[in-house]
Amino acid sequence: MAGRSRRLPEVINGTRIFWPSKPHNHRGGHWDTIVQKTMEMAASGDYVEIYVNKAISTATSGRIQSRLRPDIIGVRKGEGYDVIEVRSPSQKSEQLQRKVRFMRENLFGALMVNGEVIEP
Amino acid sequence: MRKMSVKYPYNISISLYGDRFATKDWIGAFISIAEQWKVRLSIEYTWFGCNYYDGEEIKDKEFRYIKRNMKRIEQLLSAKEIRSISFTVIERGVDQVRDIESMIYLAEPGRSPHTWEPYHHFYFLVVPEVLKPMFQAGTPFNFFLSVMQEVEAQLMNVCYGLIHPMVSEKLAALYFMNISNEHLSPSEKEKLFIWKGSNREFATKIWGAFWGNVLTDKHLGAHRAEILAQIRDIVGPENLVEWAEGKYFFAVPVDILDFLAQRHRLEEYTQRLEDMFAKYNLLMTQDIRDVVAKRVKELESKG
Repeated sequence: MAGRSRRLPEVINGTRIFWPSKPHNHRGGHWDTIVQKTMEMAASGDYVEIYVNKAISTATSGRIQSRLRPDIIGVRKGEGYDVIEVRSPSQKSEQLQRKVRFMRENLFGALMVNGEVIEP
Repeated sequence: MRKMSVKYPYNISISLYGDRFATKDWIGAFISIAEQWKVRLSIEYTWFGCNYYDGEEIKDKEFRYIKRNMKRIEQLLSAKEIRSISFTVIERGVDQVRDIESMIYLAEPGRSPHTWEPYHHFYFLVVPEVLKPMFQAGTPFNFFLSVMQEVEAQLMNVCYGLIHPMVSEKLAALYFMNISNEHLSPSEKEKLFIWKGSNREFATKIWGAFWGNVLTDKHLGAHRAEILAQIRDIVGPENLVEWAEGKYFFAVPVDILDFLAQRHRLEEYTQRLEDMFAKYNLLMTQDIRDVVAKRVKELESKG
């Protein structure tokens, strides 16, 4: 999978994808895994929109106020949100777990259908 | 996806759910329990973490658990309104991946308008290597019983609970905090959807059957004697005990210290138990996907 140098699709299977405006960390397959996972999610047809490295407030249209930026937020078709974090080489696995736990328990609550961490 | 490299092949989770703390100073009580287990298990916590309220916001903070941070930790605990607190032992694993070797955690229900879980949650994760010396003086069954009794006496009114071994790469510390990962099987993911959708009913319904299970009379209801007799038939009378008034603990007769070799036997036992629980309509059934769809509709109707 190419990095951001290759133009990434903005719509797949009717799902609109919002890619980050700034380059993401390319090291260690982190970005490739994010792109691959985003494509899989979009192809599934389960999502209205997918936000990559965007603030939670943006992805939830202000419903949840937070400047935290998960790697991927999928807006499910009428069913809340999926939040995916992919571990980057500089990130410790346990730190990532802590971040997802915090988002689920304190921000999304029952609106997070699926919180998931992925090792690249 | 890459297979995670982990130091310990599996770990054991003790997850207890309560409806209220036993004391107003639940932070002090928790720290006391955490310190006691640190000594008993001969472990050294390497990280301290907490969530706290700061005005309208909730924040996450963690410190290395070392002498020079003690004052900062104490100041934080006394100055802020704490929601959750944890002590963790992090071991550096292979490929720079750090494993959670042990973790002890306590939280009250969150205050986010979207928060669903109403329970007070005590969670204790340990690797069997740390527990083995403890078992020279007693059985795993008695060890877990003593953890429960301490939590009940010093921390909270336990209404439901479970003890379960899990392969490390399945990230038990996340699974029992309601977060999935790519290493879970489809059935484990589906089971998590059910727990997330139904866990408000933790005091009256059962998530499933696990290696160790904590139930109360509220779960058993009118069929109490009948269900207890059936549990006894399946796991053996020596593996079921009323550990506090109207509160029961039972474990399947599978050596938890030999989990990797005996996981299929464990699955057979838990399946038998779940089939029996289903007959009495004790199992949770509501899926989080249905719950969220309903919740989103409510939010949309409010504009």
